[in-house]
Amino acid sequence: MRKTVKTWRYVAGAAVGLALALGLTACGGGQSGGSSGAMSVSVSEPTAGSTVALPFSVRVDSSVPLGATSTGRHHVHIWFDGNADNYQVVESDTTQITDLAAGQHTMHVSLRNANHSAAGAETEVSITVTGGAGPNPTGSAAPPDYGY
Amino acid sequence: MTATRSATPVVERYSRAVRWFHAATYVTVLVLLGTGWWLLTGHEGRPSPAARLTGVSDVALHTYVGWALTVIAALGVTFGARAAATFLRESVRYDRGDLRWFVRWPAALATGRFTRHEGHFDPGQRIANLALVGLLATLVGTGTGLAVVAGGASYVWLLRLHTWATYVITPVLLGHILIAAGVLPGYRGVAQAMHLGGRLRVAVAQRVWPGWLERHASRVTAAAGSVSEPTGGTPHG
Ligand code: HEM
Repeated sequence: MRKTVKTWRYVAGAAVGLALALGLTACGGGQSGGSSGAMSVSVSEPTAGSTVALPFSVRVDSSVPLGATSTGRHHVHIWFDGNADNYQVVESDTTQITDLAAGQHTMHVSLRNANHSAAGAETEVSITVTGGAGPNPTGSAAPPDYGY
Repeated sequence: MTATRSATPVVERYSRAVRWFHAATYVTVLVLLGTGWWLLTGHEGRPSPAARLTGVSDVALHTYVGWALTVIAALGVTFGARAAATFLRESVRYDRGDLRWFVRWPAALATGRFTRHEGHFDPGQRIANLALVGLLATLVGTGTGLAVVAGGASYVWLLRLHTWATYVITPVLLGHILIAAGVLPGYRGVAQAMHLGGRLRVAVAQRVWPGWLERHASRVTAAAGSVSEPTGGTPHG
């Protein structure tokens, strides 16, 4: 029994050590996403300050190839105004926005690692939407329809 | 220690520390299971009820709670090393006659007439314990990997393993919850072994864990019925 307890203490020590090591690595390396060099993302369509009607296309230019999470590639999160938790996942260079209140919006585009952590490249574009769901009194965008 | 607040004789099967460890584990596991399935079913980017409640996105919630489970597991095996060793030893236990327990089990779910076994856990629980520990270890290992690696080829493999472990653990967890909640007639009353002060009715222990109850009672008698011991407390009756 004593021997078992001792062995367990070693196993436990190793487990805690491993968890701490992984934790430290996560803090230090989580943002890099395993790619080297500075990454960038920009929006070529719609252009800043433009007026669009629903549905409209968004074209992103990324310095790294985009793909589904299951491929291990990066992807992009797009959200409007302050709704950072309500976002559209974009796994290729283009996507469609189908649901957004009429009015002025700031479109946020954030390059993400496959595990959704920020890859360190972001941009934002101001646009005006005509038609759509009508002016939103609170000024915030309606959640986009992701088409799931 | 055990309390008898009513005339019904009760026994403490698990210490307070073990009950809290179990509760912390299942709260985190349930959040992980919920947010994990939310992401798996393509809802990423749409806040789940849990994300709305906490104001944290599902991905972040999943990852934070994942780290919490990792810490709980590490603390559990560090400070509960003896209990963990007993748990593993009792989970790999095999006695003659255990196969007969399995043959009678489907009917006993309804009748409560289980074949006698000698273990701390019944033979079915032992298999579930091993499956749960193995799968949770896989999920914690691959989950911390996913959080650290962030992308690339290793990420793809970690994600595959993480997802497959989720598929397998889901029915095992649901089965465990169904049995442990005491919904099935044969297992009625077992939930108190882990909850509500751990006051399990002796009659329930007699029906589900007879060998353990006898050993426990004789240990308690030998210790003059005063102090509680590592795996449980004092049967009163
Ligand atoms: C009961 C335990 C767990 C279950 C059932 C579970 C389930 C899942 C599922 C289903 C996914 C989504 C996979 C996909 O989108 O294809 C996922 C992703 C992920 N899990 Fe877990 N997981 C668990 C524990 C953990 C732990 C302990 C960690 C450690 C931090 C963790 C970290 C992650 C990460 C970083 C991702 C990828 C990012 C994301 O999509 O959120 N998971 N998990």
